Amino acid sequence: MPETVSVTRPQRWDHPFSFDLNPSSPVTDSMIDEWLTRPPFNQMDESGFRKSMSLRDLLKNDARLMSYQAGDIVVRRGDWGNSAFFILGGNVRAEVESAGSSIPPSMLGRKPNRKRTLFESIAQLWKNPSAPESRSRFTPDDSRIGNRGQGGQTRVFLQDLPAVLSGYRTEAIPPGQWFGELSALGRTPRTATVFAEGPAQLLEVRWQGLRDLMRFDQNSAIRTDVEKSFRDHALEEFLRNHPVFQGLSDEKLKILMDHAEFRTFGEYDSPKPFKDLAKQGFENNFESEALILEEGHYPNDVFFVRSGLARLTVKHHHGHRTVGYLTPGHAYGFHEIAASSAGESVPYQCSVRAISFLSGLLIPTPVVQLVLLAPDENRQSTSVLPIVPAPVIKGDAVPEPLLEFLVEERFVQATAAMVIDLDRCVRCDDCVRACATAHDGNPRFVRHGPIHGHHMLANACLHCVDPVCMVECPTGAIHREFASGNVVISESSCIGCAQCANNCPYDAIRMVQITDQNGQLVVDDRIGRPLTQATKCDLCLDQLGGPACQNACAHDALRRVDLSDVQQLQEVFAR
Amino acid sequence: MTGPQQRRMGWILVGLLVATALGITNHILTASHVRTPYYFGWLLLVMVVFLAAFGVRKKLTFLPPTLIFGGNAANWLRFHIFIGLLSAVVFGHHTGLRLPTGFVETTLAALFLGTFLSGVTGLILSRVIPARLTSRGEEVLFERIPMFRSRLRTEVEELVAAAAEKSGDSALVEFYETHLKEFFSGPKHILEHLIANKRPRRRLLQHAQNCRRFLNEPEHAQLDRITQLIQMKDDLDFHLALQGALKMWLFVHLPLTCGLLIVAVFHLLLVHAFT
Amino acid sequence: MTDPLQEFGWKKSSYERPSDMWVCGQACEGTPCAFGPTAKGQCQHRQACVPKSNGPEFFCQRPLHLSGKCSEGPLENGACPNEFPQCKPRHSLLYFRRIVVGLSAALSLAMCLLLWSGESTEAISPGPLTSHHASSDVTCQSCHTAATGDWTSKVLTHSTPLNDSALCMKCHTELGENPFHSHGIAVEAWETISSAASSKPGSTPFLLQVSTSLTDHDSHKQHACSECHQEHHGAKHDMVSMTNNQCQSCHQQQFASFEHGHPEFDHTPPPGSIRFDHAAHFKRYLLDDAARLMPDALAPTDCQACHQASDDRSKMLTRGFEQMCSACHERDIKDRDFPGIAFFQLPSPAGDEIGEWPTAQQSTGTEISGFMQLLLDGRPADSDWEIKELLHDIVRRGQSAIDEKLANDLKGFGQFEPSIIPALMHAQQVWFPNLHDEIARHREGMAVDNSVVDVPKANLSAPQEEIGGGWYVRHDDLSVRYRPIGHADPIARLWLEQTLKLRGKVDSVPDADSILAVSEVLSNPTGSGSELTPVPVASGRCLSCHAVTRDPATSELSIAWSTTPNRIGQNSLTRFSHAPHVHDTSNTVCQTCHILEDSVPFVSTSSPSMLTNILKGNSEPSPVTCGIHGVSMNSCVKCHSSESKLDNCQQCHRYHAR
Repeated sequence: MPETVSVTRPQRWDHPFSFDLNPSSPVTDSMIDEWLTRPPFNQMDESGFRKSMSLRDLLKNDARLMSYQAGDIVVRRGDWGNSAFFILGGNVRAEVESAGSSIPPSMLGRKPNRKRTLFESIAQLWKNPSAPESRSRFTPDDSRIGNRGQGGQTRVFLQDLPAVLSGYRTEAIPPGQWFGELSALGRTPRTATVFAEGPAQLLEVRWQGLRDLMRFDQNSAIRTDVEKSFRDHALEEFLRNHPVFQGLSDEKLKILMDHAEFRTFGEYDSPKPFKDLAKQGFENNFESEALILEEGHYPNDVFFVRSGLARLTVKHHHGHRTVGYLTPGHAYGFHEIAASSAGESVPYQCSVRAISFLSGLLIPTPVVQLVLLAPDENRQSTSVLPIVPAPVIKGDAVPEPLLEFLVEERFVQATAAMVIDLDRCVRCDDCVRACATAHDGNPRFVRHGPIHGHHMLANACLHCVDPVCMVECPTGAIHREFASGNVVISESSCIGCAQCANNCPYDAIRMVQITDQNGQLVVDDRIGRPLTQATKCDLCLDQLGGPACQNACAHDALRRVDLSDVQQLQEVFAR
Repeated sequence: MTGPQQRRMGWILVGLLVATALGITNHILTASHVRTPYYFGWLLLVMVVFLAAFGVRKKLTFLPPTLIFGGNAANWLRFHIFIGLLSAVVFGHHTGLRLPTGFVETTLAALFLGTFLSGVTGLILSRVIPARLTSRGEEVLFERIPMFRSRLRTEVEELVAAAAEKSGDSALVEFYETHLKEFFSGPKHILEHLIANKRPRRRLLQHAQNCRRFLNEPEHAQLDRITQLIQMKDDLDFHLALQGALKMWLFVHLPLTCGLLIVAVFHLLLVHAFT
Repeated sequence: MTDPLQEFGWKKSSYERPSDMWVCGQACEGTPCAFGPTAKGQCQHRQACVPKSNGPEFFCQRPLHLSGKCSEGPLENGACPNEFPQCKPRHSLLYFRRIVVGLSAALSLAMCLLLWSGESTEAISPGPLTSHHASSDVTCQSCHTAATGDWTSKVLTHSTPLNDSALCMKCHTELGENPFHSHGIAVEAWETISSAASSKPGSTPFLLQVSTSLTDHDSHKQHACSECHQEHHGAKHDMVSMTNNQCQSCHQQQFASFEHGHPEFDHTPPPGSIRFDHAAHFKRYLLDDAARLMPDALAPTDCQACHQASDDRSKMLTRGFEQMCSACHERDIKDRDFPGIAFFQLPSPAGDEIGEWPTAQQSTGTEISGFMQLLLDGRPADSDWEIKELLHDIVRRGQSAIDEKLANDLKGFGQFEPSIIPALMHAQQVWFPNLHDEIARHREGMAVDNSVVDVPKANLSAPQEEIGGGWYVRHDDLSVRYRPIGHADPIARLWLEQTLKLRGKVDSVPDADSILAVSEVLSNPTGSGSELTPVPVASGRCLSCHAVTRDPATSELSIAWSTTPNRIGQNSLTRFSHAPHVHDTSNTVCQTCHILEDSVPFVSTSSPSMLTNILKGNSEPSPVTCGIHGVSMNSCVKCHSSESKLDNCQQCHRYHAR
């Protein structure tokens, strides 16, 4: 029997925020002293903070000082972040969204997404380099931007700042303001690009830190502001973008905004909670899931998921049976309320439970009846019911243990899970070869992974609804492609820090040693260490034919499945 | 909504229809004094070229599935199987079901039949083996089997050595030397695995069970682990055998296809010169 | 629960690269490195950790996925203490598969090139020849034009099959002058054949209709031998068999099968059939009347009495007159009561100065007989002297005189064998003993005394004096006559055949009536038999049994003098052999196919004027019947059915016309 190794239990602040950046320049006490002299920190009441978690400790471990030079990009629209920024000094500008003139992705350090032509596609057969993981370019895709700094301090900066300033609508954010708190608290993508106009000093705070600053400060020095701004912005954005609310008059939107309630459930302590929880076993886990709506109760609200995952359960003897799940955008309770309007009250048919951290929206029943279920001449459909996806899996289409497995292992996050039917798969590796052909001769997944029954969920990127891999990328190399929503890694800006690979709960990201075109390993000339980069499935974004793996499977065994699409789910797993 | 069963029945039905149509065509054209073997020969060549094109198509996975020569591979395989099975019918019409007598023709017929039969074998294997693979042992990548095997062997060797050192007794070592050393040294019982014969595995486990009587209490734990490793190694061999079979039939099918194409073209030239 | 062998984390499992040609040599040992070999198969693990110097110190640079910084750290000289042993990369499975495929391609290609460039064309032979063709002196060149010289150049030019077929004809000379035309029949003949054939639409099976529409019906087209005859399929290969549909697709008249739709057999016998009423003979003469009619002979009891199989048993031959008919019919032909036909007869003298002239006991009248009319060129004799001159001339000059006298197109009538001349000479000596002198004096204009020549007394008692060969002289009516001497009488045959040659000229020949008069006698005997006698007892009734027939193609008339056995075999595209059909030769076997008609009283189909009527176009030759129903298909299809598979066209038909 293997010997038991005793280790100290990991602590929250074993790894201060500033360490990620540069271990040799931690947040010092003098810095904290300086910060505590200025608002809003000097307005805080420290008495609410616990001894073990004082304000100073919070700032020391959950905050870091970020210095930017002119042109440095702080956050980009579409990036996912888990931190908020407080401007200590300097000029910072945010791009103001205006139709048709937003800063192009290439200028933000993202590879322009272009499909290959037919000839270029075929030319892959002989043009693909024979050396593994060969990279031809290390320069940015766009000459208007550059890289500076190294490791976690790498910055992408705009070369021609004046052109950006004159060409696009931007707005200065004055010192003393917070920004980025929406993404940090709601786990949603950044909504605007922010860059430094001149040298700037920013205080970056991890979202946990921000949460605690708000929770324990008895003076609510930042809470009121942040909460209000969060509520207004996030709610409006959610309501405007969700299909159910399309076409509503401003009046009705106003009613909704007044009555809708933002709520978060569950714990959000780790960027990869699931990976750790999985090791504890799932039985304990179920009890810890926060109950949002309870089966059998009067339907008080309709619940919308904004981020995170929820499980639908019904009582079964002494336990609960999973009958479905909700992913962002899904709603629950509509059908019960619609049925109730006839006079008889129909209780919730299922319980809704948050799986780890979840942020959602509750809309009270009367509002739903007034705004959504009542006829409205502005809206094309008289009923919203068809628009609301029905997340409950009907009948035996998906076997219960399989559904349980998909929910427990969080595969329901996937918009493009690679599901291999092992009863059909002849293990020919045509999918892997096809993948390699489509990616300069390099495979982007390994044909292994968790198996349930005869279905393997291979270790290929799921393109999660809520991609935790993006959270800590220092350069924004891993990002959502705007048009398709695919999660992709930009080769030109990946610095090989392996944050994403460590964060991915599905082992879908792999670090590779890159070589030059002659097949020689590329060594970082500054630190002398072989360069690595993160790689993963990009769903053949630049290929004409879409996912090559699925096209290549001659036995119909491999499918890329959007698990938020119940129809697809049933089709694939019922086989 | 049509299920796979109905789809398969559809293919079979269409196949039978086409085969009948070919028979009738042959009948009609023969009666019209058309050189049917000649035209069936051309048809067969076109079919063989199409079948061989599947190999090329497999490399063009990046093309949109809507393109005719892109198609998705699953559809291509369906056509490959369909045309492949049908090619036997056309071959029958081409040869008039006579055994060829010339050297070139005999070679060609042998190549065709070899290709056809290996293809049918592959078809059967690819329908039978996957479910068997899924039902037993850990799913492993074929290329990594030697690695895992060596890992298992190392572990079992270390276990035995440690046990011997601890207890000063050689019962486990003897057991290892007599029954396990050979077993862990490389792939074993491949043939038995192919025909789903579990006897070697049972025999080894019985030996292990038998060995238990000679061991002391702490050694029992080690024997339990060894028993587990035996099963894991056996499962690896099982996967090696079956996954190997899935790969090996192509080692027959592809070379024969290549030879078939070349000799078929030669045959065509001869026919054009001499008739 | 045991730990799985495969861990999925990125540090534990890197990408598998199944499309590479090399794999890490350490993989088998359980410790593959994360780099893998280069595309050229070199281990690149050496570069895994290159410790970096920072002043005097060295730092470990081992990347995270290679277990990160090592605990030992670099050695003082900057080398890595955990130098990973370099491996020798091995080829991947894909590589071996490509090698096998390449080998197969190379082998096949080499074989083809070898055969292509090889001297011997025998090596590319697609198989042994049939036993008919296989011979030590038969080479590729014997049949293939492509085999002469460099065949590879023919690959693109595509030799014409007809060139090769010409080589076949070196041996197959039996195929006639048009071997490549359909059925070996000349193009011109096809016009008539095609227009004569009738097509019955609707009776054709659908598939056959399609085949027919796809068939090239150009009768001018030449067909290569190889269209039907496929060689190189081994010694025992059947090169000649065809399917029924292959036969039918060219034909205008089509049908479903031999059983269903094959045209009935043509019953009209071909020229040269004997009229013989099997029914009457078998049911009557040979049973009831046999003893009376054939006191000296045995009545036949079975078919074999008259019909005998040929040596190869393919045909049933008919025995001759002597064996079959003579017992009853010989004496009818040699009818001694028949007065015979007068070929020369003196009329009663008309003038005064006639010189010698015999006296006739019977009145002879002034009429001139048939043959004399021809000799006299169709005129009535101007004077009695003319008749004497005629006789004198024939007696003096013989046959040449007869030939001279006969008109050009009638000369055949005088070619008697045995000759009439001895009879005439004898008549002259008796009737005109001094003919030579008288003629000489008459020519000089001198008077000739009239005197009556007395026919010798002795001769009076025997009014006819036999000369021989059927000729005799009658003194009572002063005639030279002929009476048939037996079966196959030469004079009767000659006269009837010559008469038939008058077809179409009856009206233009002046003496036609005279000729026909004789013919009528030959076909209408005036002997002891009479029309009321229900048996052919009179001689000269040739046409009772030997039918006059008309060739439908040329409309020539002919008389069937001989029997024609197995008439099917006479057709150029049809064959029939009795051999497989006749297991034993009992009557019942024969009568399976050859069914007797119901017996009818024998009525002669030959009337005296028959020939005259035929020649004058008043009537057609009556069909020849033999008292047996024509062979009907019904008797064939009993065995030749689709069930027995014996209904192939080639059972009875051959393609190449003979």
